[in-house]
Amino acid sequence: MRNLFVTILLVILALGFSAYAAYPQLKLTVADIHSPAFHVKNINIQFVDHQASEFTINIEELGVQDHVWRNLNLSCGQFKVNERHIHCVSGQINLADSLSLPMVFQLNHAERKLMFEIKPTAKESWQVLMDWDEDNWQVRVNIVEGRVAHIKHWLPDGGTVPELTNGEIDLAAALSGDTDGLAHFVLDASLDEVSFSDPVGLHAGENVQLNIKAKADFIAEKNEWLWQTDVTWPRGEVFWQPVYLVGDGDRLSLNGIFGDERIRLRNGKLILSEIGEFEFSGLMTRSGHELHDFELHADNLELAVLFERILKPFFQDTAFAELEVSGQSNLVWQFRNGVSEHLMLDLDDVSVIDQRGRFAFNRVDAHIPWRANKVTIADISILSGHALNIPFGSVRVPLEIRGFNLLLPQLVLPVLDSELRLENFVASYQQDRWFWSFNGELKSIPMARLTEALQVQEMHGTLSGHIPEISYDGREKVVSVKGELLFNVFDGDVVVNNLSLLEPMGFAPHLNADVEMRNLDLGLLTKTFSFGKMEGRVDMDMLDLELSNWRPIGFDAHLKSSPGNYRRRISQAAIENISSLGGESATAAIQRSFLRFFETFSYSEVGWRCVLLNNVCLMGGIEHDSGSDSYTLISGGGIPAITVMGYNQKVGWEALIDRLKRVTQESEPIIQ
Amino acid sequence: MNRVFCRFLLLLIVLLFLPHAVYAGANLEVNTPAITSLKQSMQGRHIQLVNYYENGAVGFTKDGLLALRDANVVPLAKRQVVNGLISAENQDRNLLYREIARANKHPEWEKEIRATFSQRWIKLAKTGWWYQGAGGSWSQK
Amino acid sequence: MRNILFFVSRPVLSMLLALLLSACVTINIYFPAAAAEKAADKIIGEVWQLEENVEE
Repeated sequence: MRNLFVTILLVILALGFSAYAAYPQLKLTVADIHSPAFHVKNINIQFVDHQASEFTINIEELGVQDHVWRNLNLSCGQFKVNERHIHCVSGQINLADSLSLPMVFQLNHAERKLMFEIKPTAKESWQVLMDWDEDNWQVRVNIVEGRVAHIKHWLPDGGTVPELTNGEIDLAAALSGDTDGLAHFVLDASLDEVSFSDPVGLHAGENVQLNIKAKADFIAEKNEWLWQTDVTWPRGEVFWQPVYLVGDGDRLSLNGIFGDERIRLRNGKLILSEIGEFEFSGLMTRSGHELHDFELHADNLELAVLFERILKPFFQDTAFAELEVSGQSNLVWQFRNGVSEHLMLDLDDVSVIDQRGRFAFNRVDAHIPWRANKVTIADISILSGHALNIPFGSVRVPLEIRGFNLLLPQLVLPVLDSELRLENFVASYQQDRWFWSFNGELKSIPMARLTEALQVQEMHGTLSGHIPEISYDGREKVVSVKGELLFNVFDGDVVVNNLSLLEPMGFAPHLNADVEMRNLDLGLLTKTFSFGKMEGRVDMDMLDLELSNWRPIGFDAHLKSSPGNYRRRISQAAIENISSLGGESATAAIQRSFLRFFETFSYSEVGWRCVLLNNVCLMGGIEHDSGSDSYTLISGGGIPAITVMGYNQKVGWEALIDRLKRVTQESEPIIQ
Repeated sequence: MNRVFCRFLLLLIVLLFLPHAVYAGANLEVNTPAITSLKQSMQGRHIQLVNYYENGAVGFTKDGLLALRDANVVPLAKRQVVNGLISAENQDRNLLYREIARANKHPEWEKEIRATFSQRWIKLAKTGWWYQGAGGSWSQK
Repeated sequence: MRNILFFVSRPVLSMLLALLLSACVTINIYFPAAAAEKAADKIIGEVWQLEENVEE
């Protein structure tokens, strides 16, 4: 870097002297110049006519780092020359075939001063001033109302990406050094109303104002630079896929040491408006551009704004895309010798609410420390929340963290006036995927509260059960249950086998299970669904149950009377409802006959079968009489007895559900 | 003799599977709750997306999804919104293809269903909308 | 001679049968392209609320 400046200086000096010396000979060729950062080929200086009223400088090739200009041409039609001084009062610089810009320059050999200025328009100026003596030199660069759009045209290979399209730059820079190279550097620049964009518009900015201050000093004894930059962003908008930000006094300050081998960052500070301050420091090796050490501290970050503006776009394809977050957070991250050593996250009065209503955590306070190769205990307390609309109460979670494994021996979660006891919770994060498992127990939850929470038909009784091992496999995105899930409901037992839940937090969760219910109290069941009273007990199997988005798309259901002795009565209303489910009503028949005098009838057996496939329920009864389309739903017994037959074998599922809804919602039975 | 036998066998098998084949040929099951809710979600989003189809910001890809074709026609502040719409729509479309395959008890059909849809989205697209050709380059209808 | 031929051809025949069976069965799991196209058009029509579908 130091060498570059020396070479630039030498070239300019060489050019100056050569041109001066060349005057009497009318034409001069300067030797090619090569340096690691820079090269010039074939420099020709020529006076155009005999009166020497115009001279031109031609450079066949000028290369600075990656940029190569070809056929650079400088011509001066109005100039003054004496022994000490060349002054081009009005000239042109031709950068490419079509691009020609007004230019002036002055070279004062005696005073060792050079001034070079390009003036693309009257008010615009891009100026370089240089002076030097045997040991020291200084360069000043001034840009006044420079249009940034020029930069793209002036750079030889089509410009920068993203391309600067609009805006102005004012800049004052001073560089100074000695024969060993650059030693001091000060820059003060402001960009105003700048617009930039890449071809597809994924990295673009509009009306951006930026103020940049930078300073660097070379410490010769240590062979390193001490540098400092300060950038403020008072306004303008930037879309940098996928983040969109609007400048509002945001500020970045960096300072540190830039050596041959490493870059040290000290006292870095990023102030994001309405979010908070991040302080950081670090060390990077220059060979391989590897981060060696890094330390980040941030206190009292406003999570609502941080999530909304910066984090949310990164969660777009996940279940956490539609969160509303509030509260404050502190963050510490220590990265040493190329590995993360310590991470600490404090949450203060944080609420996380899923806008799709799948879950919510209210007023979370947490201290979550993490250390590599050490066991830490996180303390998380949640005041309230819900998961899939089931509310839970205040809970304190002492979570043990071992690297990428989480352990929680026991947790009692208050759920709906009762509790869910979780045991042996283990979670681990492997290959970018989560895996977790637990077992537990559910203590009698009042069904009335549960059904109210789930916004389904009100049911009575309690729900309790044993939860065997439930595990989640992040690779397959499946929650599966090992063993039987046992519940008690409607005074009967429910056993759920082979339960698996695909993408539980996805947009269309899929549930598969085999459900067996035994000894359900028909009285409770029919009362719950205001179906018309039935007395007795039933067993129901629901095999190959498949729910998509919590609605059934397939099952093989079979309901039948439980074995044993119990009272078996059915009310007239229930009979009417049952018959109407098949699409026809027995009401008329009952009403016409003597049966209308009876409130209830006795039966010996009920049976119903429905195989749901492709939205069609294939119905059957107690047993299907092969060869006939009819089936028996209720077979009579005792006095007065009644037998209900079904004739429709195929019923559209939606139609069936509609009818069920109607018969359970209306107190009067449906007559169709 | 073998030819005759094979023909007979073929006929037999065709007859055996005919009701099935006819059923499969007639219709594909697309009325499950999941598909219905996906359709509703996509329908709601279409009102917003249609503007971006028209101005060329968003185009139809050859794999039955959407892609950002040219963000320059969208104001900066809206680009994130367009990104979000595309991402949500693609999520729904991916699920739709999967759900149709699943609803018809042939999860392995997902690929073919996606291919069919990708053709039909483009075929039914309005004049002026952009789509991706087989080579990956964009064309306008 | 006929007997030998018979005995040779029987396993060949049963193998052929098995092959044919498997070959023929695959016919049934061919992707129903026309139906899929129809289903796609129906869904796209609903999502885009195309006029043809509104009239339906």
